[in-house]
Amino acid sequence: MDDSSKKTLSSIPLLKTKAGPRDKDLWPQRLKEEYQALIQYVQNNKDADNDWFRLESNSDGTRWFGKCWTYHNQMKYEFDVEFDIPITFPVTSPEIAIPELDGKTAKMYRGGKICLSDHFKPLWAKNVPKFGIAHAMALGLGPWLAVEVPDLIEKKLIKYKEKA
Amino acid sequence: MSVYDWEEVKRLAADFQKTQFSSISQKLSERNWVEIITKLTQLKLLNVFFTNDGKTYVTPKYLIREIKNELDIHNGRISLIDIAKSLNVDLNIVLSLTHEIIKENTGIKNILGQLINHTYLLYLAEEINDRLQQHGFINITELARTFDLPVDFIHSIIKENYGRIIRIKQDKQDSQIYYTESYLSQSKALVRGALVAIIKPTLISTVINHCGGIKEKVFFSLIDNLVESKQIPGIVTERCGNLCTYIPQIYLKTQSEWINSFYNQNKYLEYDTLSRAGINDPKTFIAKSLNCKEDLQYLRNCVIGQHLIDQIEVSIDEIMISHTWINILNILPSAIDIEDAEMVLKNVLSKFKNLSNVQIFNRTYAVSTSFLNKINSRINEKIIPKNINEAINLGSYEQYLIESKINITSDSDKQELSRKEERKKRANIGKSGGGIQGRETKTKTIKKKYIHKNISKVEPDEENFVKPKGHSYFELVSSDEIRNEVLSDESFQDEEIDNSEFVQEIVHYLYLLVNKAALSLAQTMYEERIANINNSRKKMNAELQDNIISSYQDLKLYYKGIKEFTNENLQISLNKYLLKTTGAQLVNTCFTLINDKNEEICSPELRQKVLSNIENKKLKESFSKLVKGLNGNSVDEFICFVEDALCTLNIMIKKIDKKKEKLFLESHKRALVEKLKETDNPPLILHLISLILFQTVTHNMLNASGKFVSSILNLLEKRLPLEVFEILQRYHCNILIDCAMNAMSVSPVKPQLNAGNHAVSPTATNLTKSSLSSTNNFTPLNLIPEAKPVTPMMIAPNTEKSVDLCIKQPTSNGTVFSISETNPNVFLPNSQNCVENYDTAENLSTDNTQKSIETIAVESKSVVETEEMKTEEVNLEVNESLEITKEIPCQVESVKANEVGNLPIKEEIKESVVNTAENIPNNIEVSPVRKEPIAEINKSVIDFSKMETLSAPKEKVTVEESNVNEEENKSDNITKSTSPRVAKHKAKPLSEPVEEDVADGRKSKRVRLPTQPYQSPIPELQFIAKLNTPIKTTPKNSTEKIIAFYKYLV
Repeated sequence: MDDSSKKTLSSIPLLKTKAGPRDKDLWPQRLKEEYQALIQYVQNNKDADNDWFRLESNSDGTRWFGKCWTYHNQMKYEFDVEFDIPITFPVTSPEIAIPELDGKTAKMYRGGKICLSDHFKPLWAKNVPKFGIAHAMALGLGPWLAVEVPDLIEKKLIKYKEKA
Repeated sequence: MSVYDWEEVKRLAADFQKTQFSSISQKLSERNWVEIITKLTQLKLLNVFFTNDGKTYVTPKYLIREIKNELDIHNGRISLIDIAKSLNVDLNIVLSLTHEIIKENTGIKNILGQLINHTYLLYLAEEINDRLQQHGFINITELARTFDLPVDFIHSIIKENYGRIIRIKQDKQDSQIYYTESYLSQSKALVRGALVAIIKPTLISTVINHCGGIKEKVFFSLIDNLVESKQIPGIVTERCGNLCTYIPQIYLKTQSEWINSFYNQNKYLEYDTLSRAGINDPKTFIAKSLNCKEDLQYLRNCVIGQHLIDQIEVSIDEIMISHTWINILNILPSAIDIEDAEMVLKNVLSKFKNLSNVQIFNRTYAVSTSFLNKINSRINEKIIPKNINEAINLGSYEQYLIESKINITSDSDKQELSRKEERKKRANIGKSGGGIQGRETKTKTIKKKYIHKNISKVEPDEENFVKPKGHSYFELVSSDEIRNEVLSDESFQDEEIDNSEFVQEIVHYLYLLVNKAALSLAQTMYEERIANINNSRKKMNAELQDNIISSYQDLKLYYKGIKEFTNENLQISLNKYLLKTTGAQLVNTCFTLINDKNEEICSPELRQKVLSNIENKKLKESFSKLVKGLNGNSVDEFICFVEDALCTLNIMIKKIDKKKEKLFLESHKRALVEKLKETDNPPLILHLISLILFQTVTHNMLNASGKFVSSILNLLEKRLPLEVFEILQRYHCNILIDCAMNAMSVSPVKPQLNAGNHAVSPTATNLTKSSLSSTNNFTPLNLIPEAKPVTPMMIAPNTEKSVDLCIKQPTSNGTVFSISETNPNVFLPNSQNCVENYDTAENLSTDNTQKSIETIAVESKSVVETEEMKTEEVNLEVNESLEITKEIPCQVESVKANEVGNLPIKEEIKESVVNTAENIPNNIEVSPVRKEPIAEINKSVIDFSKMETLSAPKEKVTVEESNVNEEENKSDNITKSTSPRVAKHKAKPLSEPVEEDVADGRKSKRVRLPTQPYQSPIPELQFIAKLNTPIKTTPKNSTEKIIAFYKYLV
């Protein structure tokens, strides 16, 4: 992990509650903590002029969706992102998916689920229940986009879409 | 609670949304800034530079300031690379900026990538100055090296600061070098001092070493400077590399002074000495520096002045006047070697007008021609004639002539022609020069023989001597002889120096000259001699022919004599003997005559040799016959052959007429008588007497050896008076006995025999002598009756008394008395002389007879001993002795015959004269003494029986003795007619001058006659004298016999 990612990670507050959506009592607690962490992370990103996603959840907070983007050669490439909270959450990490890129890259499971790096899962398992959705975004999707998108652009699998 | 919680979740979700959509604050990220500046520089709105790490932008202004600061920090000199490093900017940026800086600022320079400012230049100038002050001089290149700056730049610095900071002088020859003034003046003083101190030529390099510290370049520039300003006393030779020499003036001066003084003193200069004195080119130096007005002669090794040449000229003049020679090396200084001396001599001689007067020998010897002539003439006088004679005599010259002929034929035609011319010339010369050596003819025969013998012995050493023309050369005068002659000259006497080479050359020169002359002289002499030899040869041939004829006649006469013998065997043996002696002689002379080589031929081998060489067939045939005849028995045949041979030789044989024959006989007889006179040997005496008697008896000559004596006696026995024969026989017997006894070596008998022989032999000899004189002198006596015959008279008066007296006392006056009795007028005055003479003769005669008998005795004794008494041998010995003994009685007889014949002379002179040699034998008596010895001999020797048989009939003859006188008278007339002639003819062969005179003139006879007693008294006196000594020991027998004998005579 590089210095900047560590720094980023450290700036995200750690979670305390270990509860999944099935734990009715503790889940809101957990969800609360989740939001607090997200807010802090977004706030950090915005402070660093590095805002790169938008997220919103359903009411019970089991399903998350939103948008994410990245810049390449001073052009902004924006993709839809969605994932579900697994029942075994927080032991199991959420599987983030970008459906529109499904089939375009090898580093993606079926349904557009991104293939996270080898480091992520052990790191996650180690930090249960301290890591939450904000961590998953910062450690999982962020680096994946930074690596995969320029590659895909070069392969001309994705094209810049002018905003209408 | 959960509701609460959920609401809170909702609120939080809303917060989250709110934060997500809240506007982002206006803040440029670093990335943006980089992009912005890049955009600006691209638009050239902004001029900035990145530092090397790219993190910092710097403006040019800042950089310029920084560069200046860096330069100042580094004492005004820094390299651009260093600047770029320290400012952490690109070098190109620095370079571009430095350009701007140099443009703006004149005090800063960029030299070889280094920035240098004014302060550094000042520092540099001061630094150079410091160095100069320290070292005195400075080298720009060195500076450039130490400061790591270009030379030009340093030059420019120096120029900029010249006179201000740096006070120097630039080297004129080398712009790179600068000196300080003080340094220059200091070195100059040093060099000047050094050069002034030098007094001999010195290499500059050594001077430099001594001056120490002054560099060569500086030194040379200083020297040039000094030479220019004439501050040093000397010169510097041309430089080649670093080698050049400084030669001080003082040295040159002393050198030339020395040379001048040497020359003035010695009148020559040796290049060697000059070069040793350091002069490289002596000739030019001499020409330049020698203050000499004379002409100099430049030789190989030296120069000589006119003075020396004058000296040589003078000495050559001298030798020409004094006829000597000179070695100019002795005049010239020792420094001049032979080659130079030779050159000088040649030069000097070339100035002489008459070069022929002087010749050069051994390079440096001047020899006056007169000197050579002097020696040459001396050799011509002394050696040449002698040597030529020798050469001709030894035959070497002849050999040479033969060789040269051979060579000529083998040589090419051209040479032949030239040789012929030469020979013609020689022959011409020879003819003109002949006639001096006439006397050589006498010795020619001997010399000729010599020549033939020595031809092969021509000394080989001489042949090996230098022979310029090789094979055909002949040396007449050897080089040694010439050398001796040359060395004998005065001019060589006082010379201690070794002149051998010179002498050798002179000898060589003279050798050719002299030998050439000698050869031509030899030619003439040889021809002359050949002519002489031819003449003498003719003479000799004539002589030989005479010899041949005379021996031919002898042969014939002898042969006639032999015919007297009746015994055939005897005849044969006599013939053989005749052929052996006279025949051989005849043949030998014949061979000598035909032999070319003028050699006397005396042996059968030589004869054979000559015979084989005869080419003429006829001649060969006749001569081979001759030899054959010589070996045969028949004299008749031989005479035929001889006549043949003589015919082929064209020798006329004259027939012997009676007159000539008589002459021959007479001469032969005289020769025999002459022999008889000379001999003391009894056997020989008997032999001769028998021969003479034979001739007188038979009127034929006989040639027989001693062994025929007995045969002759046999023959004579019949014809001689008994008494005479008796004497002969007795004498013969005595000798035989003597010899036989000696042969038997019977010691006790010996003395007796000796005594007897002593008695017989002297009587025999003496008597024969008297008989001789009688025979010889008969003629004059006949012619002059007044002059009384000597011998017979002497013997006649020898009465018993006188004889006795004589025997006892030989010096008594008995004989004299008797003489005076018969012819007092003539003989008295000489009587004393005679006596004296006999006194002296006495000893000699006795000695001789004794010796002769003793030798016979010894011989026969030894023979007998060695042969161990073999009878045959004894016989032979005895025979020999017999022969000898026979001779003696013969003589005795003849003598006695004379004496007997003389008996009547006492009364009648004419009658005594009649008793010539021819007559006497007829009347010979045999002495009565004879019987006794014969008896003795019969005992010992068998052969004596023969004698007895022979002698027996002779006794009968003795009876006739009394008739002698009558017979004499009968033959008187014959002797009268013959004897005077005989005397005339035979006077010369008989050598006694007395007899000659007697025969020659009548007047002289009277004067001469008194000399006769010398002969006539001899027999008695000598006899007496001889008998005197031996008789002392011997028995009276012998003396008695002699007395009886004399009695008989009386």
